[in-house]
Amino acid sequence: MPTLQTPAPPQAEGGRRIIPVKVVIAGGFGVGKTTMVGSVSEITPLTTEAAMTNVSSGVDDLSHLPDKTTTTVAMDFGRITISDTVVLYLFGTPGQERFGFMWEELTKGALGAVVLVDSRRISDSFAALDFFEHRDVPFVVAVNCFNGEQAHELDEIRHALQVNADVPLVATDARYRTNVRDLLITVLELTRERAIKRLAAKTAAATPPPPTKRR
Amino acid sequence: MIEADREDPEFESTGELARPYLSRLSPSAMASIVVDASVVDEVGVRPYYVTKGRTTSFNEIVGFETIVVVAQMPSPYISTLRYEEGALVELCREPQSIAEISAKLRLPIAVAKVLAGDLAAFGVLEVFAPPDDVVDDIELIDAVIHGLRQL
Repeated sequence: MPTLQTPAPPQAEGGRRIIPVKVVIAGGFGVGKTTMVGSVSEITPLTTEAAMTNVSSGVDDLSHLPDKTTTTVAMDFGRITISDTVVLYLFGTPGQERFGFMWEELTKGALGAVVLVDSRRISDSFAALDFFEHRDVPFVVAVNCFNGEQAHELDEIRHALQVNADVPLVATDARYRTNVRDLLITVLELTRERAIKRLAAKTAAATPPPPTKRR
Repeated sequence: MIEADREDPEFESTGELARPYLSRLSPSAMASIVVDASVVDEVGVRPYYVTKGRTTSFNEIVGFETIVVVAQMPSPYISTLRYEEGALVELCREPQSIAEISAKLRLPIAVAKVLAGDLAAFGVLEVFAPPDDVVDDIELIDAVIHGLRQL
């Protein structure tokens, strides 16, 4: 635990220390983000709303309200107490392009992200993939298998999504706690791997190369 | 603050104003106030009324996951708090993230941030912000992996 060398933050009184961290779950409407959050959260998933205007259809509860000119984007989130000091929040956010305005703030400081894909509607995940491919947030693509069945092989899905080989692509079932837990561990392991690579690169840069001898 | 705004070259008094708090703001500051009609319809009160028109706080809070909790020795100001601020302080007897405050008090997330930031500036709340460079903090990442494995 990072306690000994790290000085207490100035606002902490009496040694109280809480470290909030987060993982973002992005995906199209109805892909299972809320289910996924609920499977591992210690609290009933809560919803907060970001107001939107000029949206004509496609709200997250699948009830289509044509001609609606204002709506709200529901952002579901849950909480997992990791230890006495660390609290992990999971934020489920709509993955459509038009919600991009939320993503900058939502992903800033995130430990990682999951892009949740419904193999029957893979195009719903394109905007989220585009976003994360151009950010430093480590992410894993998870194909949600409804009823334990998978319509397509993972390789086919990877090809269809045009996801790079270095991005993990896994099958999951958002309804099961152990599946979601393992998925989150996969995300964190990717984050860890990247951190170690960066640290190694930094250490190598700081160490002067041995003098080359040419004769 | 008023003097500073008067010196703003864009500032020009428009006489009587329906919303008096706006008279203290320059046009550029007013332009930054975003009031969303859809929220008004649902909440019934213009959400930024509770922040006195401000969209920024005296103590800026960044991140929906930032946790606030009533300070161990809160300033005496705590006993004067009412309405939204009073409800927020009651809720924050236990640590709460900005997202939780927003959801439980049914306040837009930006309003929750402003209120919590102010109360922190006044010594009522203690703020625990997410650490910088979390993705490089290997010890923290390991702690989270370890915690997840216990689930």
